[in-house]
Amino acid sequence: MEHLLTAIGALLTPWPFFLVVLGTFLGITVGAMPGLTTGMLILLTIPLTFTMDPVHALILLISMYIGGISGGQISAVLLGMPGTPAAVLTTFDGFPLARQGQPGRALGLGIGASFIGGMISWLFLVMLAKPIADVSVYLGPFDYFSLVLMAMVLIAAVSRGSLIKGLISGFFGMMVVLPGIDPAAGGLRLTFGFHAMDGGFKLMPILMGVFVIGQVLSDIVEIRGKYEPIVTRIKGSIMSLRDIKVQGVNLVRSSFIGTWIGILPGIGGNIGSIVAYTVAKNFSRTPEKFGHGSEEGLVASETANNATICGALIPLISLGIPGSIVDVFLISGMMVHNVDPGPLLSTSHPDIFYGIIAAALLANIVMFLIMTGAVGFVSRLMIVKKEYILPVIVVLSVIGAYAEGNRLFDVWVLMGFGAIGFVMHRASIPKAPFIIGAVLAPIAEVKLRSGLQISGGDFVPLITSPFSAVCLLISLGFLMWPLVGIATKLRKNAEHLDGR
Amino acid sequence: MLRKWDVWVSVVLVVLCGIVFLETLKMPPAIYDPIGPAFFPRALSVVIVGLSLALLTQRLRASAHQSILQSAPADYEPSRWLGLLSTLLTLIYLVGLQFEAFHFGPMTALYVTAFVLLLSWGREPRVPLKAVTIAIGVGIFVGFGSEFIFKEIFYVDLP
Repeated sequence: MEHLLTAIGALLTPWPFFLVVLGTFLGITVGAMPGLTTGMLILLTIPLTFTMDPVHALILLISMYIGGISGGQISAVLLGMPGTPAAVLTTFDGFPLARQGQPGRALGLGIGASFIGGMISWLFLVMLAKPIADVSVYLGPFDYFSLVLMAMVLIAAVSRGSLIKGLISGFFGMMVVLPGIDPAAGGLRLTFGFHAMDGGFKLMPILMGVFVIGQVLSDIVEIRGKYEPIVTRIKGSIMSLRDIKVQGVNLVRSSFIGTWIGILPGIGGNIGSIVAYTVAKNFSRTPEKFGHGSEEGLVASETANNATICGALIPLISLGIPGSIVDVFLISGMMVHNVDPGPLLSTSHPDIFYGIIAAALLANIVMFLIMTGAVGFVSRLMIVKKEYILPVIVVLSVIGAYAEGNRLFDVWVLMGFGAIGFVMHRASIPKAPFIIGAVLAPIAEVKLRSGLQISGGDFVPLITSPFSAVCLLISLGFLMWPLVGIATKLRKNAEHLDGR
Repeated sequence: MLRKWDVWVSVVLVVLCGIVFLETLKMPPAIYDPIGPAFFPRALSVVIVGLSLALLTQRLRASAHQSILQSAPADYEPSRWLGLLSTLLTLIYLVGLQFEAFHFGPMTALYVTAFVLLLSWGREPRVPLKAVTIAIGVGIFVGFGSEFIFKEIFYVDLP
């Protein structure tokens, strides 16, 4: 607690506080713009932080994360288009509510729900992060390997599109980071004789290519698509104490759901909001209103998607496993600053560990204040034309890819993975498993090989270690689940035919 | 359309993984650990080939009716030629950077101006003078502004 209070105190000094405010504001603005994502903003900002202190860099990035997830509701409510994937469910009820003449009320409820969801999940972050980090040092290499495998299967299973495509994406992501230096033995592999490949593909160009350039290309091809803003004047409405009382159970339940979904490796805001929305509808006395301007639906969605943020930070800072896609970008931000995001973070870099927790608290409060006061101003920025923004994003990506290694080879890698990202978009192959695979592959390989060194080549400890066995069982369960669905369908068809 | 993309992706992945698998046969045997550097890439390439063949089989067996349902038309026409031209423009820009045809600032200013004009033309065939002025302004600001900001303020090296 003493470390946390020290970290909060440090953040209240001028420069760090300015970074929190700046990061949150930029996150809200970018999050509100359809076509631009929080991940894009974070990736493009990382090169700017090269010369910054690592703690300050991560404070800025975390603030952007929180601002971005919250900002997505602005375009979801006013345009009927989610600014971020996490705000998809907010569109279902926020937009109809705005069309009924209550855009301010919709935004007020959403902002209040985001704040409360963020605060409740922050409490879980404080309570769980350090204990999990302390316990995780006892995890063996096979346990870590199984945890990574489980993260891969989970994210593939819940991503949009088929499970096969999700798994292809994840394993392909693992493969692209293999060229270069073998992490366990140190020799070169899969360089095909090109000296430029001796260092392998750097993570930043891969991430920026797939997520940023791929998205830019898709936006260019779809540039003729139009959207009409529903309102230009908004009277703000703050969530009242009466609203909190009426929505109390929904707020707490959705916060719990969002936090625990966020803790699951690789799964992020959009899944949390889907589950919370579905549960809220099932428990609602007026389920028929969902999808037509239900305040309960709006509150559930926004509470959960903000709650996933701190939930996802728990495995990130205690285990070094990303809890969501954006956490993957935060990991790359840490690696750029030579910070190892593993279980020893709390002891080797307590300033960063507690700085992240403190930043999450402060950014949540600043988000609430900015959104409440400046939502009208931010909503006007939403309709900046894409033809002015997209070229700027490409240039920033080129600079970002070049800056880390000072090699134009990395810029070509950026473009190559941009083409891959575009193909993934057109072929409906989810990108999230690819990114998770790319980040976790080195960990998985090192842990498996060191585990086999210890066991003398024996794979049995993968099953006999309780933690590892549980992770493998969960992975198997998710892999087998679609087969259960197919078998049920076949049985019902057979029964239907017999019934005739 | 989705079916065509799936087939091509599967074929490309099978070929790519085949190349990786053949490359792993040239790797040295395990010395420091029981499985060595070849195990992971070899296992991944086998798994990806298996999944790609499963996807290919699935798509080739899918009925024409299903593929029609999947490719519901959008309410606007995607602009493939705009994507191709944008890619070509970007490649010219990168080749220019590679061979140091111009300094970063002017090169980027020209690129951004051309790109904004191209995208404006892609949205509406008649580009108004106001849009041209904005394109030039954005190009100059981004080209020279980014050079100043990144080099002088953030101390980040540029191509």
